[in-house]
Amino acid sequence: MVQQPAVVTGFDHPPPSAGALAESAALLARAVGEDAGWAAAVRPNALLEADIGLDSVELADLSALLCSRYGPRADLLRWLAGMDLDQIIGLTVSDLAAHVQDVMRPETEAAHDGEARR
Amino acid sequence: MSRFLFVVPPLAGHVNPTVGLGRALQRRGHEVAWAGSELILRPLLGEAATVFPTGSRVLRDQGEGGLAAVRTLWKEFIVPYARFTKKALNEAAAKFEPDVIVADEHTPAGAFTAHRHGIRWATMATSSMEINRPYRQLPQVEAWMTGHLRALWNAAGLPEDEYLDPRFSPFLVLAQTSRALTGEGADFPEHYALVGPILAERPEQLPFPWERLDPQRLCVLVTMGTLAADVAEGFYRRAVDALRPLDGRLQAVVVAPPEALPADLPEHVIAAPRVPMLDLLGRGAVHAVVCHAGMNTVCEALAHRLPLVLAPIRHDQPVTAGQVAAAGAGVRVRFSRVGPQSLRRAIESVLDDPSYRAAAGRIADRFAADGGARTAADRLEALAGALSTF
Repeated sequence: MVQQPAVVTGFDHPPPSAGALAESAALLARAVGEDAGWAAAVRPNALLEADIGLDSVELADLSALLCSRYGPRADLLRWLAGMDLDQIIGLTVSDLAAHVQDVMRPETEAAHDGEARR
Repeated sequence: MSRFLFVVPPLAGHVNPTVGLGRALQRRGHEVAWAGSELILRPLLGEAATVFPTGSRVLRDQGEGGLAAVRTLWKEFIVPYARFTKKALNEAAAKFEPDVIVADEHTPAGAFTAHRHGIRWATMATSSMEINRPYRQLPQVEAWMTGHLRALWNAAGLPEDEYLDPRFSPFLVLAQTSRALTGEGADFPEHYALVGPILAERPEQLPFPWERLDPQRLCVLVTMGTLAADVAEGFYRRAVDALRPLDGRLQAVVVAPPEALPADLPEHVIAAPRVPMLDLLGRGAVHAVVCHAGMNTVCEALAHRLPLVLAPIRHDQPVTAGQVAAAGAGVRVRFSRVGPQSLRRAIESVLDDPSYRAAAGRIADRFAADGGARTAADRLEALAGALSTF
């Protein structure tokens, strides 16, 4: 997998699509009670915790929003469960968008992708 | 008669509930002492209290939120404080010979000392931080904390196979919360006592300009706690701007150091670095509280049937704020970003919509039934009694 120097923390992934970034910013805005203007100004390298100020309750709200749209596999806690403290602190909007991109794809495609990789 | 030793961190929010509980035990004829930083404890406990000094270690505010604040709390405070108080706590236990040690959830050395001396111990959970176990769904974060605690246990020379989580006594956990907040369905083991708030007048008499309070106007109290002075400056400014146009209908008491506030404070905003909080609330002088959702402030407001505007900063505060909002007794706003207009709307909502006050009243009634210091003292006596029958 290609290392993205722009994303220095969190985990490695290819840059997410513009659509996944926009969707992530829109859902973040809803979770923290901000408007579309705020969502449009969100930077991909903004840290979810330090820059966006996402707290534990808002994170749960965001997870619920994602699950209602994309089903249980979008669950953020399951996604975070594999990370350590420093990785979670270092998560960016871009990292979130990579997860959103994963769950935005139709389930069959994701399953097929998984098989191909195996 | 039994002897109870409170092991507390140098944080007002963790010490204050032990003041009320300590007094309740003393009134029942028991002997009570505290172990901790005398510098911090003395003004909170008063001259008459027995204090075994452990030395001071100041928890510096890092201005962080979320897990970064948790990481700092553990690395900068919980772990070093446990190491550094170990010797003084062992001496205190040897000298005072307590029947029960009541150890704060964030002073693991209290539990280690009890285990070493074969003393029963209770956990005092003054925040909603540990008992809600917010990180149990993040196994690596939980493992990181447990790793620190096990290392401290081993460093204290305790047998590895006897390890007990010092945040949760297997005998008794006194939690300063209520099912009115956690929800009736919350599942806690039998030895967890949700006792509600333990309030006690502070021994110090703080001055307050009572003559400035106008009984014709409503009054809003704004306080962001004792630990957030430097990060809260922006919030205080926005709060003052939110309050500025409301001078016709209300006054505000803003608890903040003068340097955190704008120079041109309007007449209806009364600022003071510290206030006699329970006196103010008890006199019925306050009609709503704007705060950081620290457990003590929230409990004090709700026990006085007051609705809240909550701007949580970190740790257990978002959880507590969520619980109060879910119970209908308050409105949540974002600490870092809420603007004067939204904050004003939130303040007006909790003052004008009677449902918030009604919900706060229901919680206050539940708190009274929970029993506070009385229930906590009953449970501690039972624990001490169980011990003496051996």
